[in-house]
Amino acid sequence: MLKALLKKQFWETASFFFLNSKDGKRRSTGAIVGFALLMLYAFGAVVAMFTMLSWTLCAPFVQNGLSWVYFAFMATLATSFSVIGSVFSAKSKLFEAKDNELLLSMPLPSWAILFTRMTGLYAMAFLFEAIVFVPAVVVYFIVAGFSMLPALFCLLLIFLMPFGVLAISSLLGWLIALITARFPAKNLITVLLLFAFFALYTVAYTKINEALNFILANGAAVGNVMQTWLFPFYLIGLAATGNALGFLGFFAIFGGVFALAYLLLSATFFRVVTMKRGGVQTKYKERTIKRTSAFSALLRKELARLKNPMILFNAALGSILFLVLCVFALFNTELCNEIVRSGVEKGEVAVILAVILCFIASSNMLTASSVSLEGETLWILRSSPVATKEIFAAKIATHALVTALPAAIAAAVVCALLKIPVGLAALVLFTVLAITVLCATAGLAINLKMPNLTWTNEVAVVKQSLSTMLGMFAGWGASALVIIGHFAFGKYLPAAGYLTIVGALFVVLAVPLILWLLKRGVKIFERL
Amino acid sequence: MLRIEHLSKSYGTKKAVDNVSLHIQKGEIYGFIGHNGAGKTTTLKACCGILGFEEGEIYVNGLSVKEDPIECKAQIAYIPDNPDLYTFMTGVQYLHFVADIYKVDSATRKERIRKYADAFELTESLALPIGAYSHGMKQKLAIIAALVHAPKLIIMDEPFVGLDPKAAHAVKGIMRELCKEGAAIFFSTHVLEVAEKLCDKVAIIKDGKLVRSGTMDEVKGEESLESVFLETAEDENA
Repeated sequence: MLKALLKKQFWETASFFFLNSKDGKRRSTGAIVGFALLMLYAFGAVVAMFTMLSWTLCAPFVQNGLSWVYFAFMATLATSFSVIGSVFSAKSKLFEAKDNELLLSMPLPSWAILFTRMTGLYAMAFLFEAIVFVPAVVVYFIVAGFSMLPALFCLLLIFLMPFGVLAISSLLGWLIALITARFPAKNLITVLLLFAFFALYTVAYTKINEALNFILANGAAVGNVMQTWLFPFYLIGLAATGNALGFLGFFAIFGGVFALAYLLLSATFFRVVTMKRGGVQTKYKERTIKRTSAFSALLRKELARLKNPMILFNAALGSILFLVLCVFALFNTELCNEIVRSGVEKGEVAVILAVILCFIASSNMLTASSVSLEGETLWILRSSPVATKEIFAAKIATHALVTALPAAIAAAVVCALLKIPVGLAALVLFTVLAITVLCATAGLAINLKMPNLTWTNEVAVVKQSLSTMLGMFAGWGASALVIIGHFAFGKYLPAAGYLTIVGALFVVLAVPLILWLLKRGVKIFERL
Repeated sequence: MLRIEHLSKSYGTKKAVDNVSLHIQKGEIYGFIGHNGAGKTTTLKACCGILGFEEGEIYVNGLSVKEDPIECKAQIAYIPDNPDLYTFMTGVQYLHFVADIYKVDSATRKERIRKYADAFELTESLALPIGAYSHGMKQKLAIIAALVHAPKLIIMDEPFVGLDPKAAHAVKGIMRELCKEGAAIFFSTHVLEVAEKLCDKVAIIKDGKLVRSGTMDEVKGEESLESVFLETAEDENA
């Protein structure tokens, strides 16, 4: 029984990698290799970042005899990173999977269904944790030299630490599911909780340099704080340096917390999954609604998807980051003034700001999952008397609107604080809007080539699809080219000219994509 | 109203629909029966332009589905067997979405929503998100959405599945009323008693081919539709 469930879970998780969602057939070897290479690149980049961080921290701690503080800190970082990476999926993966009812109708105990779902989350937690902790371990053994017992404990820690993450993210997911099932405004509550979480994360992220300097300068004091306030991570620190008692203590605490979380979730799983959602029954009141155009109806339909917090916080992450940037800039006016006083040329500042805004704008992936999100409801659009190009226009317009409005606010606020002249500020905005159009059209084209209409959970198409990943990397690649181009041609081209050319180039690149969408894209959509 | 001429549709090497021709006139209720996988849904989907086809032609009110799909769709309402609707909308939002797509003016849509939602006892639930609807409620909502633009041709795939007896009765009444007003209805069903009582004409499809079609009397004669249907199945097996 458990084997069959685990097999199902494995196929559900791996299907996006191996199977073509359109016809259910296996992807070509080339497509699988391409995807694997892309994943390797993405993970390689993050691993490289954490390896550099480990290099910075490891030697000073080892030299001061505080190796355990180094490990405790890296374990804290790995756990935080992993919790952030998996918490958003926990609720939907555990309690909102489409096949919950099917599985509950089968002679399967709740614990087995939960266990299977948790294996998927464990894999995710493991991946995020390993990205941080494995480089930390490798760097440590290069700096401090290899020894058997610490290596053995480190290896065990790599596999056991994700259970702690699993416990935390599952409990948070359970809490959100419980709260949202009891209150009518469940989406609002989820959005508020996620915003709170996101705000904390942003604050922590912006203070990371300050924190690193403090840690480097006050290693012993940090150790004391960890020993008192982050005791489980203190034990990890001890275990990683070869202390058997530390390892046993870690095992007891993490194992205990995980066991308790699993028992709690297992005991309440059936109730949470079958709980009637949206407690209060809203009565319908007849109203006259003004007729709008088909395009406007399609646009509203696309925008309504953002009521789903999972879609909002993943596909429209860039829009949230724009607002975060605004708040950050407004709370750090002194930093902005310092930049102004530093005498760096305004043009230079404008180009760098444009690059930052381009990166943020290209983090929005609304069109890259918009076709897949139609899923089983595709028949509604396909049987409606609207031209496919109008459907495409609504999808692109949604992406553009959701990105352009916060982008314009962010550009205006930051440009004003950095005292960038209006003309240059307008060109910064033009560049960001141009990349937005490019990303929107490219995302739609990619999703048309790689649609997944048979998902059991929206997470599969919004967070875990090749289409969104490619869309995001294409956008980031284009943004990176802006800064590379500036380094290459900055000497010959003033900032205003450079930004005009870059913006125009993005628009020009979008033209063939639009033409492709209108000809080939329409045919593909009509054959879905 | 609907003319299907030599329609053929294949999935790979399997011919799902093979040279099917049918003619449904205004005011007719046309039943389409056949075993599972016989080609009913494929034919219905091809008629509403959801599914492309290799051979043949389909005309809606004289317009080719291949050449003029948008105009054809504007005159059709399609109700699938399993109505997956936008769960992120409320019932009334969905109805207004459909009304906007079909360009129904405010007063007309208000009146039709009231009329059909009351007939299906769904008015109270229209403010709820569709995600909270039962299968039957979704089916009712899909039917109301189909009727909100007063289509000239209604294509329904198993419309009675999931409906309670009262709603099924209401659907039958509405079908007759619409046909009296000049609309045509083409629907598939496994409920042969309903087809026998409700339909003016009927067609039996087996393995993608039409085995019988015509008026109810022509198809069943003195026998029941069920016996005729079972006979055709046996004939093929013999």
